[in-house]
Amino acid sequence: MSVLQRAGQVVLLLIGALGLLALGSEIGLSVAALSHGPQPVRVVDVQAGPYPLRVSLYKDPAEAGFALPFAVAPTQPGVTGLTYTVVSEPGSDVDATAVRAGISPDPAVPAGVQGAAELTVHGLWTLHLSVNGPAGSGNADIPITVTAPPPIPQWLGWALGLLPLGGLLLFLLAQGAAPRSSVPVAAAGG
Amino acid sequence: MATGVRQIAAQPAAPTTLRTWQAVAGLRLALGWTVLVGALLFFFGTSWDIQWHTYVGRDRTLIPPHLMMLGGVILSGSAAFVAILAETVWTRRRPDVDRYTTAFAGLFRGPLGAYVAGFAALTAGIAFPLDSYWHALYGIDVAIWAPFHIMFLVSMGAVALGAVYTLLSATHLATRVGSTGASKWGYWGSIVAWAATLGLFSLLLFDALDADYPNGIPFGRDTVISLFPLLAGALGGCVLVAAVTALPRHWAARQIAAVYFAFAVIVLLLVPLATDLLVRWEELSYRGGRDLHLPLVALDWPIAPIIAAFLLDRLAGHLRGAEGTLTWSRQLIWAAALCAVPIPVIFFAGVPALLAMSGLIGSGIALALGLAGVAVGSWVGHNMGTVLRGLER
Repeated sequence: MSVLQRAGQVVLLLIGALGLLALGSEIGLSVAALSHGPQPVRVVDVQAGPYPLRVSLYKDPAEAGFALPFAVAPTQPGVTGLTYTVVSEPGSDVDATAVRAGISPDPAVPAGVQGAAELTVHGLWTLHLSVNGPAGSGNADIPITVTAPPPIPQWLGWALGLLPLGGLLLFLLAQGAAPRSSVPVAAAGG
Repeated sequence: MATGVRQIAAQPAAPTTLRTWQAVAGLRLALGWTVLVGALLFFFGTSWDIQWHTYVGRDRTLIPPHLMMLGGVILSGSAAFVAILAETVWTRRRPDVDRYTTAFAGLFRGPLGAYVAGFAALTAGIAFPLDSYWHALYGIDVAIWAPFHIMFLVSMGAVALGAVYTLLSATHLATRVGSTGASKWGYWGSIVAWAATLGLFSLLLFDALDADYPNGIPFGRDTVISLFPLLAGALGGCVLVAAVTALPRHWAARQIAAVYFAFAVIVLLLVPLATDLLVRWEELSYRGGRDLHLPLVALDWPIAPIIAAFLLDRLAGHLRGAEGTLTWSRQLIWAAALCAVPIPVIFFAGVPALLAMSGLIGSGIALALGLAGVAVGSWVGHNMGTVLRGLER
């Protein structure tokens, strides 16, 4: 193996290690986005039919592509048997589809839930809350602003996206340059 | 060097050496198949995802089709990593293994295919969050030709190609040590891996023949020159010619074509069913209240490579020398040329779509480009097949 080949492989190895590091960081950030601090950054009181509710948002504005942790709790004492559905709905100018949020009972709050809403695209969204309980059902909407991550231009996106294709083509073309003498003719077959 | 290798091959190996080589072949076989299963998971997950995005919309990040795709990436990447790590350690303990491995950066030793699959799985893993980021910036879209969709699909196509390399390397070693069973598993694994490579890259062809959203080289006021013939010709020519060059069997291309067609049948049978079940499970509804949910990937599946495979097998049978070596011939280009013609499963929709996109003259130019694509693809494929024939023997 020539020095140049080995240097190329070392560079490729470093790129791979950097890529692995970047991927690990991204996974870490996504997982971290699911958990939240002890204090909400925005608290909204809403009336959903017969139920006064307090919605706590742990990020404001929310970040597109990351989960928005939230909690819902009834403000009237002694309320039980409430079931919730939470859907994040994109505004009319947002090119996205509605997403149902994953929720689970909040162990610290009777009849309360906590969950994470997915907001896939930047723009104005609504957190649509539906509640069912002994006193009937009700709905409430909470407007959410979703910010975009720092943008990269389209051309750079395409350049990055086509990198593996370039790498694959280089690999395939290098096969044409591989010395034929290394192919053991007698051992061929099968 | 060829003489040197022949001399080594003629020497009888010591029993411990033979056992080591058998173990290396077994390891490559197991991990090559694991890489392949990862690529197949990704393929079926992607087919399901295309159906989901078109008829339901892009909603949560971790919907089951995405989980299936990511599962494929993780499985294949981990298997490739284990293969390299295991053989690096092995080679340090048993230097006689060294001869059948490929060195990398002076640090690692392993089968060439594992490096290809490993790097490709890494870029696929990077493509997924980048795609979410792209959607966050520019909104959802159902086009396959978006930068990080291409990155994802090309990467996983390369993972399947890595499986071809690893499994053929295992086949060669197994043949050398006389493990007939392992050799057969390796051969059939490579057939499925070739089909997976062809199938995964074929998913990129759909947007090249979409008359509703035409993509291509601008030509005239309302038409574009479709890139379908160029891309499909290069892909089909490369994969099929590489396969008939690397595999000295009469039926190799037809076997690949049969598996490739079976993929479309599986998608046809399972994807609409899985989509219906998931829509009901998640209490969602189809976009626009559509009742008819055609299996998109199965219906758009290009079937021209299947016909080309028959022609290539027949031609390869005539062109092969006494040792089974397939020398380069321009006839290979003509046998593979059909790959460039747009013939999807709903075959009557192919050529009309090309005409609608490109017009009569534009279609002629597109098909001429297709022939050029087949020529380049076949040449590259022949080189690849030749390298694969002698890979890590």
